[in-house]
Amino acid sequence: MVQSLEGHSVRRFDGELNSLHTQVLEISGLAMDQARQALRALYDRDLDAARKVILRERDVDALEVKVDEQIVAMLARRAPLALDLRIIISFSKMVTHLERIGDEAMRVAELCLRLYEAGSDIDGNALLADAYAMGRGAERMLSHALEVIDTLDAERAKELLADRGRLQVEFETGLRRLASLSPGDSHTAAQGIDAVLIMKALERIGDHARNLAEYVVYIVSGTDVRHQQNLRPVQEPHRPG
Amino acid sequence: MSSVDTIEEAVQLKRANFKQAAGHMDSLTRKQEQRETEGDVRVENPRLRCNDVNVYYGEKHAVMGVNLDIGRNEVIAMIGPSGCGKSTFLRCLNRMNDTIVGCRVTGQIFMDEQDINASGIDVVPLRATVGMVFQKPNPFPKSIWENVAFGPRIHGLAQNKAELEEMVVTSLQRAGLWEEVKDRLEQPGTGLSGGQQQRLCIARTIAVNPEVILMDEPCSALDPIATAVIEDLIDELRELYSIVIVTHSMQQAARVSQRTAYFHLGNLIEVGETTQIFTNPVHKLTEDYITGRFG
Repeated sequence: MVQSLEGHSVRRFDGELNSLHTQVLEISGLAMDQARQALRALYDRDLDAARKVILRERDVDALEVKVDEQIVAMLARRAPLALDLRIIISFSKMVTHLERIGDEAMRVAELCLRLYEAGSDIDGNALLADAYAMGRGAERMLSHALEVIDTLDAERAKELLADRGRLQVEFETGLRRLASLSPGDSHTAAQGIDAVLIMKALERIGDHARNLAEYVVYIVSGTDVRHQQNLRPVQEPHRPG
Repeated sequence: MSSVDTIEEAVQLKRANFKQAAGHMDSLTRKQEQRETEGDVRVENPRLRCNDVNVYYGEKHAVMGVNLDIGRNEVIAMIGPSGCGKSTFLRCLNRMNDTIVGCRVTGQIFMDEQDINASGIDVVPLRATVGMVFQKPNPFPKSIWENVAFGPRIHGLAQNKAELEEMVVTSLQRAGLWEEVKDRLEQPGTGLSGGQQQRLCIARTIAVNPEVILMDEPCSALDPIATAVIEDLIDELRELYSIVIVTHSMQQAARVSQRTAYFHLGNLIEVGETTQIFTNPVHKLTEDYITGRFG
């Protein structure tokens, strides 16, 4: 079910909610672009893209502050209830997750700079194959999350929630594979650690994408689906030992 | 959605919506018909149990088949647009509608297994047991002391002057007014401020040992400070009485009540825990009303 932000007798409130939604979409677009640029840096060893991500991080932070200010003003002036309350509270939470996606993108960009500036001869296929795969997964999940932020479609949001665990499985698989490689063969221990940190950042982006979908479900249905076991997929992540 | 471009398109679309934002209004113009109530109308061990209550003003069917329990030691808020039947329903609970020419009430309202609408019921003690506080404070043109003493005296509740005095003092204390008036009990009640007058009316209601207190927009004539004092008092009174409050202030309903009932065109549309009603109402009419989507 797609929710309408409109229909209030006070039409200005319709406008304010739409304006807030627009700003959440703007920060969503920016976070998505930051993630994509960071992944380009990772895939293509594009150091300019990495530097651009680091420079633009302040734009994400500034947008978050701007949205928060608007939300505080709306809470004070409109005293929203029911759907409106759920929308505003959820948007407030969502911008925090979007800002953290920006943080993770910047982390990937910084790690790429360190990796590629220090060792232009590293074997990407050996060291970063799992990070590449996780990057594609994180991007797909983020794209899905942004779609549901736009449409406020709870059913599509639930599809994303069912995706839980895939990135975590890939992360743990990647960890095991990296551990099996001998440092010195194709990379140093420091490069191995950077590869792990990149994978961790990408896993976090996937987690934030799911958190965004959880808030869309809450907006539409009023049901808090955070931390619920019953939405987990059949496939649980492998736990060594 | 697969690219940033699409997000930008979404932003553009939202901007267009921002300009075209228009209210929709259909709920108030819908055809009047009886509807099922959403939510649990029954509670355990109710103070009042209403079964299929209907009110007619001549031909007009003002309240339609309402089933609702009023719990013990709870505040239940009645909300809804003007003319929805909430005040009319409230007045059923102590048969105040009997005083309106052409008004007819059907259905049953049980208090301790006794239907208050049954023939032979004396409404005078009923209205003491189910007291009422009105929108505008209406103290008698008598002293503060006499305002409170009047009820116990005519109901014969005090055996002697000392008992009567104790009732007056206790009632004024429970109404949170004692400290403000104890040195001027002989002064006219009408000389008090609006908020004090309303608390005097509450003291007057309490003085005759009610079990239920009905409040019909008790704060609508008061400033925010006097309103806050009354709301605080309502919270304290809940320990001793059941309170049914009609209010147009959604925030007040949210602040003071444990359950909320939403009325619309004579129907009880939805009843539920106040937090649920104000965060996640089930019925669309409830949601439209409390979010201000009523044209």
